[in-house]
Amino acid sequence: MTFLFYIFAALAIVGGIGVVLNRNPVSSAFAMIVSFLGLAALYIQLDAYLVGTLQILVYAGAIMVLFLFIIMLLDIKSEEGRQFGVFSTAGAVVVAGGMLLIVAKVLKNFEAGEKALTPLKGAAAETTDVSAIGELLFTTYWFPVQVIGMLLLVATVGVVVLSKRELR
Amino acid sequence: MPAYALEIIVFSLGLVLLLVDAFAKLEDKRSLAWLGMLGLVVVFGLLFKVEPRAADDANVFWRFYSDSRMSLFFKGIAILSTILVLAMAIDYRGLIEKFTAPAEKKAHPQAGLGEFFALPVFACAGLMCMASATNLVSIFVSLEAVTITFYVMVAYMRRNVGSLEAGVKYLILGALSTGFLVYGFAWLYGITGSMDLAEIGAALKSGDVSPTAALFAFSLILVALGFKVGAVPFQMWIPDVYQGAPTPITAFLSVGSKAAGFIVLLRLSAVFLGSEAVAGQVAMAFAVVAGLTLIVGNLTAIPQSNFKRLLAYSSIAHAGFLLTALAAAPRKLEAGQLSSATVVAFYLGAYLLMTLLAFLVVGLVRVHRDSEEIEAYRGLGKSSPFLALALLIAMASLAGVPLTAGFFGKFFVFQLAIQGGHWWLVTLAAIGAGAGFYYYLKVVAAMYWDDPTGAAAKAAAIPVSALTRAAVVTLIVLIVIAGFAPRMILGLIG
Amino acid sequence: MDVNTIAWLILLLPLASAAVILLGTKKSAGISALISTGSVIATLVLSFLLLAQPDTAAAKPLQWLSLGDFEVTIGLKLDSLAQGMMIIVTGIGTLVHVFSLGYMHDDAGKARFFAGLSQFMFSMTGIVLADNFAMMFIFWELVGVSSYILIGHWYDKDSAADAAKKAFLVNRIGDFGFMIGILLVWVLTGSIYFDEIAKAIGGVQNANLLNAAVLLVFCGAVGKSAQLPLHVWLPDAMEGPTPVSALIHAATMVAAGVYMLARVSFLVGAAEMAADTIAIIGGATALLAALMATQQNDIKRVLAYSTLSQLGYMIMAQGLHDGSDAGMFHLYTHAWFKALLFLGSGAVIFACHHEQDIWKMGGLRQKMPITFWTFLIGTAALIAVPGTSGFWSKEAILEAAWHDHNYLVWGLGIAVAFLTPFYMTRLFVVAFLGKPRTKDADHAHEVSPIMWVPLAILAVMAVISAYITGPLEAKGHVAFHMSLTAILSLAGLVVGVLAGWKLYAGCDRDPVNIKLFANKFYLDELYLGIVRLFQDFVGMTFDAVDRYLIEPITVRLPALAAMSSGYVLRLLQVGNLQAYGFLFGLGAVVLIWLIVF
Repeated sequence: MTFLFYIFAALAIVGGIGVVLNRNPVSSAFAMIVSFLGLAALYIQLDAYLVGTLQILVYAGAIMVLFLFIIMLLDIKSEEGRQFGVFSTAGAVVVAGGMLLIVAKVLKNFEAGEKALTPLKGAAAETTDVSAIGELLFTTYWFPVQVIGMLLLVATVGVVVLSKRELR
Repeated sequence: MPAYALEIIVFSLGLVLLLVDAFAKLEDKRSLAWLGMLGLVVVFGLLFKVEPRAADDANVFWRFYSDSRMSLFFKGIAILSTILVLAMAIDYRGLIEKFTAPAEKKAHPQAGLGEFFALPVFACAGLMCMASATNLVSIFVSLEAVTITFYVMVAYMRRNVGSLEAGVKYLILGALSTGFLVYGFAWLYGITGSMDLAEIGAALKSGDVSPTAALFAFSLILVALGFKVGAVPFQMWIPDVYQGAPTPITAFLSVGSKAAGFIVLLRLSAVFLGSEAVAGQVAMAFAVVAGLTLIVGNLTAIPQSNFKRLLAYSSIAHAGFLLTALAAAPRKLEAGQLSSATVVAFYLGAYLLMTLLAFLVVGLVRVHRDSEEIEAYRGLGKSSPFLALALLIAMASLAGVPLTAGFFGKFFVFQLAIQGGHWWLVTLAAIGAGAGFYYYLKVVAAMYWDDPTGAAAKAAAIPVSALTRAAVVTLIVLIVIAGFAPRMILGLIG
Repeated sequence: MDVNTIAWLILLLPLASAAVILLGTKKSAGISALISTGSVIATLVLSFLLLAQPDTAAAKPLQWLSLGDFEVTIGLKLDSLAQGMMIIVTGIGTLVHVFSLGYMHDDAGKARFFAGLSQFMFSMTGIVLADNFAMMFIFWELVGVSSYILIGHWYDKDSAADAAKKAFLVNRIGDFGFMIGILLVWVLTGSIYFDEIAKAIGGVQNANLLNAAVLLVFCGAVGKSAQLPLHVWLPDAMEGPTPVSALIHAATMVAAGVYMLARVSFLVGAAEMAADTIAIIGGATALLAALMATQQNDIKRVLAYSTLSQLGYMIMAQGLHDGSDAGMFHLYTHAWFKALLFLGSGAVIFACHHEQDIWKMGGLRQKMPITFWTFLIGTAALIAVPGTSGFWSKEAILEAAWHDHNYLVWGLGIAVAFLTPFYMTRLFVVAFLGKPRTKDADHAHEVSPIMWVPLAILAVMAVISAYITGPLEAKGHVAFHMSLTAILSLAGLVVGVLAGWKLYAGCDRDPVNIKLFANKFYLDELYLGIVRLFQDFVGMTFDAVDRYLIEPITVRLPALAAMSSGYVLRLLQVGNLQAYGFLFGLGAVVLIWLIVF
């Protein structure tokens, strides 16, 4: 199992690097899908089947397809000629490296408290079963869900207002 | 009526505005703003009719929601600022129309104005949810609801490059900060096993949580919320976005968004400060950020010549004072001592009054003088004495002149910091306050003492509508009342 | 009337008068002037009633603010210090109001002027009667505002508007220190009430902090009483109408700093280092201002610098051991004769058609005999001719310095004793004696009774005030001992007057020309330079940050050119955004590192 973890983790990271390094936007988008697939596999390894499936369905399936559509519709080619400047590369490396170092140091100093999370395997149905989760969302979590509903409405209105060619 | 009914009413009000705009074929869409303001005034009144949660009310809903006095106070701040923003939006409509409506003849001349009046109402609902959020989930969703509404509103003048640019900048940097927030929440959930602030607090207090990890989670959250409230070093978006956004939205951003950021910061910091293991580090972190914010905000404000940018830096500077209050939070509250939450709430209330007053004038001057430079304010004392007086009071209060609301805001902060023995923070705050006198009074000097040049010399008096006049007078009265009798405001906070 | 009613009436009558004028009678100037004058006469009468009260009297406080353990009441402290000060304020206030009825008779803004005077009387009374620092600070600020309004009365005159602005801003600097000082005192002693601070002061352990607190409180006095280095506003404030100069910038407001120090003399006494600093600053101000006064040509400016110099004496006394009483004594006598001199100069200016240059006057002795004699009496008191009130109070201060073994301060005081007679003789000889030098001076004639009667009353007071100290009896009394101090100051008087007479009698222009003094040691220029330097420095710093930090990251990044060609992104300064993102990330990394490790 550890072996599989390293494979998928590497896949996610390689995909991420690919997003940054690829000069063709379409290739970047595809690299992102690879990264998401790796992540989805990691979720499933942790017995979070629903999250893993959603990761593929929503991100890889819906959002990335939308990205690709936009990229193709706008026909962005000029990105291909892009070069990495010394400054921007150095800046990116410093920030990302610093963040990595911090996470590594935190993990090194991390003594797991007694309140460790229980693994999902064999946990109550409501944490894995889709219908149970759905029920939870509309009972216990109705309030956040309502707020998200408002958020989506506002986002829709905003997109229409900002992007419609002519308002009437 | 339970507290959450207010959010439901405000949200429904937003929906009504959208539907009326879509189906009623209004000739003059200003009536939408009037409707919105009317509804919000009613809700503001209902705020005083809220019944506390019944003792036997065991609804799971209360895991996400608090109806404490403090929450209600912040809801009041949200409603009041939305009402005033709508009032400003009415005066500002000309510019919105100019930069949204197309040139074609067929179109409604006010196309796009309806949503501009409806969006602040939705933002208000989000802010109110945020004021009550006591769970990482509800904090996150309401924060995002507010932020996304703001993305749209900032970029609203879509045919104006400045507004659009501000919107995109805000969107990208905001998304970056949200990333930090979610990562921090994830760590917090990971080490404590709960999303509920009370349970998280208990877990942190019990001491069986790794302090390193807890601090890491805290610092990630601090980065994200620091961005929201404009703390250094996450403040760089503020001047550009404030300058580019439509003025009413800038006002909303500087008041509503900041207040919401601070109530979340208050709730979360209380959780961390309760834990012996990390409290010292957390207070130190606040102190460092507060000190940096005070210095950068105040000193960068000095050379500004654009008034809106000046107010942007002033907003950073005020964040510095508010963070000072957080840094100086007393570990154990002595009898009669003001808690830092009370001080922050009072400061934000005062900040709301004076900032909105300033922006009301800025918006009017922008519309009628077509400029936001401080130079455009020269001679305002002679040509529009009423607006000049309003701005004078706003500036005096922002600077912290005694007998204004702003004075007691700063006074309580100094009091907390001195009681806590944070001497170098006191020193920085004193330097900041001193610099504040300089740059706020610069505007006053321009209005009353400088001779107008160029276009300003020939400018006629700026017409002030009855609504704006009422808003200005109300704000002035409130500033003076809070300056004379801060107890009245403190009583509302509880 | 019981003490409560009297005290509250004294405080609120002027406020009512200001309100009535501003809200109601603004249109009719005559009625406004009468309302204002009536209110001040009433308060004078009430102040005399107050004199009968015992030293411990206090009016029932009014609860104003209660914030946990921090409570502020508007309480009135009516001890003998306050009683005496009220007589000075209302007494001189009354005479100035009456004088103004004549002086401002034809002024277009007469109603506004009298409203301002009433507002000032209200604020000043508040300072005098305050029983705690918070209340005192608030009225302190109100006095600043009233002074701003009155200096800028002729606001369409640029110099007046500028002077008002300068006075306000310079005072704000001092007040800011004052506020911090009050907070520090509160932290140290746990109270803002003078009585309670006095009780708690013995328990304060941290001497350094106490010294800092007292020095910060003293900052307030430095601003209001125009001590070095914040003295620059007072001479400019002479742009205001002359009655204002007499009331505010000679007798009362500028004395507020001295009064405040006397009020908290127990604080000053407890902080040795701070007390020494106060004495030295006072002495230095006295000397420098006297030097500046020797080369001024504007009659009011000479008096302004002499006021600075005398205030220096009073402040100096506050810093001495057992000197506080002597300082208050001098405040009391000085108020009368300085108000006399200012009103006298006002009469002269009025008679000479608003001419203020002494070299354009001359020969006024024959034209305005009453003014001449009263001015002579005022001058005699100021230069401390034995027998006049000024003599006694000045001797008291110099003796206090001698007995304190504070020889540096004593030396400064003696030097001033030589200079004061010199410059006052110069002023007197040039303005009143000799021949009229201009047509204006030639056509001058005596002013009307409404203006000279106050002069006459003040002249009487200038001589006898030292003998009728009333409630201030404990503060100072007429006593003379032959001592080195006395001999030296008498020598100063003789030498100063003779030198002034010798140099200036019969001159038509100034035979002495010392640029350094005439230009006030170039301090104004220095401050202007500092302010400009500071502005430039801040501006340059941020410009540099912009140019050398932000720009390289943004503009010089080659990525910029390529990136910005994207469709939407073309509209933006992408580089800017990228730089912001970078700074955000960097800030986050550094901050997290700091917090976690």
